[in-house]
Amino acid sequence: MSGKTNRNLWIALIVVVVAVILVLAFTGVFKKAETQEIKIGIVGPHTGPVAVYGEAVRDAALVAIEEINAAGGVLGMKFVPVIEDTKGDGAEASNAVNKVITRDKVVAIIGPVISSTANVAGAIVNREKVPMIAPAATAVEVTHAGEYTSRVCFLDSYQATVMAKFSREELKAEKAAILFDVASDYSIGLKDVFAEKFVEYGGEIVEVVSYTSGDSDFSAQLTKIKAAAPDVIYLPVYYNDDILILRQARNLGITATFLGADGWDAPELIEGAGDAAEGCYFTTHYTIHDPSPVVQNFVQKFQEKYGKPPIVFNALGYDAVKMLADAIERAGSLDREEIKDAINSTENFEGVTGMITLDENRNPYKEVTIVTVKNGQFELVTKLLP
Amino acid sequence: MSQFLQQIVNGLSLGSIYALIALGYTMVYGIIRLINFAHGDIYMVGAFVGYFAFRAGLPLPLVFFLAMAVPALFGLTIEFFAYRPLRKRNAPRIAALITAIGMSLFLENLGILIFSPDPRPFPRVFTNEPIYFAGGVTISIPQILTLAFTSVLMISLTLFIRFTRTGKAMRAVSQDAEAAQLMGVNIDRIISVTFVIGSALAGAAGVMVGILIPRIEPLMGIMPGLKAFVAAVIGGIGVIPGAMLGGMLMGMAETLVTAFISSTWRDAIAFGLLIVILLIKPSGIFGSSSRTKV
Repeated sequence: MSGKTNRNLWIALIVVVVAVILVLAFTGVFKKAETQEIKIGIVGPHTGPVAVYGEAVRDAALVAIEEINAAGGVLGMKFVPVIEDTKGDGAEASNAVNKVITRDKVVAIIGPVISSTANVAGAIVNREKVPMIAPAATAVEVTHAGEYTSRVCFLDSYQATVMAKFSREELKAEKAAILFDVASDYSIGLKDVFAEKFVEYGGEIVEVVSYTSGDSDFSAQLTKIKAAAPDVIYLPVYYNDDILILRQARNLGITATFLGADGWDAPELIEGAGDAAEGCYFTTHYTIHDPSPVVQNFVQKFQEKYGKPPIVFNALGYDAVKMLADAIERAGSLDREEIKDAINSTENFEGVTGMITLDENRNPYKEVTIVTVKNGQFELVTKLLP
Repeated sequence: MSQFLQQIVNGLSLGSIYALIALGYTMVYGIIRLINFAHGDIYMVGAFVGYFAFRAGLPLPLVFFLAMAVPALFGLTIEFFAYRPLRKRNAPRIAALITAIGMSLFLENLGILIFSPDPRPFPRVFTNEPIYFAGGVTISIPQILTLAFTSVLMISLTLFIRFTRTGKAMRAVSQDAEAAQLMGVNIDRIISVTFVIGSALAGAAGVMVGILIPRIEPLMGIMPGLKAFVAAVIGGIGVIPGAMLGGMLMGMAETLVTAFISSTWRDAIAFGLLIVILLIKPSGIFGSSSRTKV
């Protein structure tokens, strides 16, 4: 009898010892991996129709990561990017986000880039409690997904407010006309806010006319605007249409100043519109012509790595990674909840795209860059808070 | 009032482009009863030839010559390789129509392959400064050029068809091809000439659109092509003055609708016009309502 008790005791003891060793070993290994590196997911469309934006964010994120690691990393650990492709598609985005969370156990996610995919990802990260910073998704509802979702780009409405303020206070415009694209939510949103704010600042909207994406003859609309004799014309559309509209407007003898939004921000604008674009103003996220050291450092590093000047999406991708690094540093741990809290309390973080402070809806409060076209060149005019 | 006058000027310059393209549709239809759907894409070819010719710094007359000659060559080739073999085999008309759609898709995709689908801004040819008239009406140099050159082309076409031997032969073929052949008219040659003239006009329209509305892309021919076709039907397909009037009407209607109603109604009105015409006078404004003889 006692022999059997003895044996049972031995077995129990061995089981306990093995279990302890196993637990120690596992937690040890786990700890070791975690203390060496910080995995972050870079999720965006790297192939497909919107690949150009996803690639831009990814390329610049890699520049930021290199820079962070060269300076010794965050909390003494190196950033390791885990890159996944969304193809700009909702289902693919959901797969990509699930993959980096469950397989790679990333600490946080930078991306996805397009608003529709960011919405899909937002639902997942808030369920799985993984912080996500959307670099360039401008749709309002993106951050409604929950407190694990934040972004670095400003909302569309935001730049229209700044442009209304700028045109009233700096350009002293009394009368404004608006020409917008009825088939684009971006254009409609900007038009609504600009019209509201311009009146709020004491101006008058004298004419609002629209066109439909794909139209190429704008003479009827422009003639109507001309008859209303505005001081400024707000044109919240993309550069391809800008080129046509600006050239046709000058052909009709319209000399009013055109004002635009970030859709204008492409070198093709100047190439295509030439002197028709001269003296126009538009709002954007940042410009490479900004002499501030943060911007120049980024422009130089990006140029060195890729041999071309960074575009807006590059700047936003870079800022997203840097803002995450800043938050992890402040959180002082790799606990996702603590990182989330640190991100959400970001205040006066000096990014390439301006001083970023996240508001209670986790949208950035930051300066909007205003650029003009002068002698066939983009030029920084000022940076304004709304 | 001055705004209204200005809108009329805008409508006329847009309309003259439609009229030029519509002429090609109507001439080909008049001769071989084929709706040549590749015609809108010929116009695209003209715009691209103009684009490269201007970029190469060629003078304006030479640009126009090239932009009419190259599309004319395209028209000739398409007729020779795509439509003529069908005609020789007495293929049904639907086969020719489907071939035309195929040619259209071929040219569009060839354009995408060669030029990439991205739109390009057309080079600036003239100054942006318009010419002012009393009452604040302005007319830009591209608009003047478009209106003037279109008028010249249309008048020469009318004279050509009315007074030259080839023009008479064209009219004869369109009235009764077999009888014309019995009278010694070389039908194949007349058909080739028709394609050459129609394509050259479309090419000229392509360059003028490039100057007037400075953006070109491989798919630019689809919508103007459709609208010009509608314009030809409105005017009476197969009737040359009908195409001119139909084109002008179309441009005017679109401009006035955009100016005084809403741009969202622009295409609806354009195609609505077609429905109205088909209901009231299916043969078009200038079309004779004679039945097809059997």
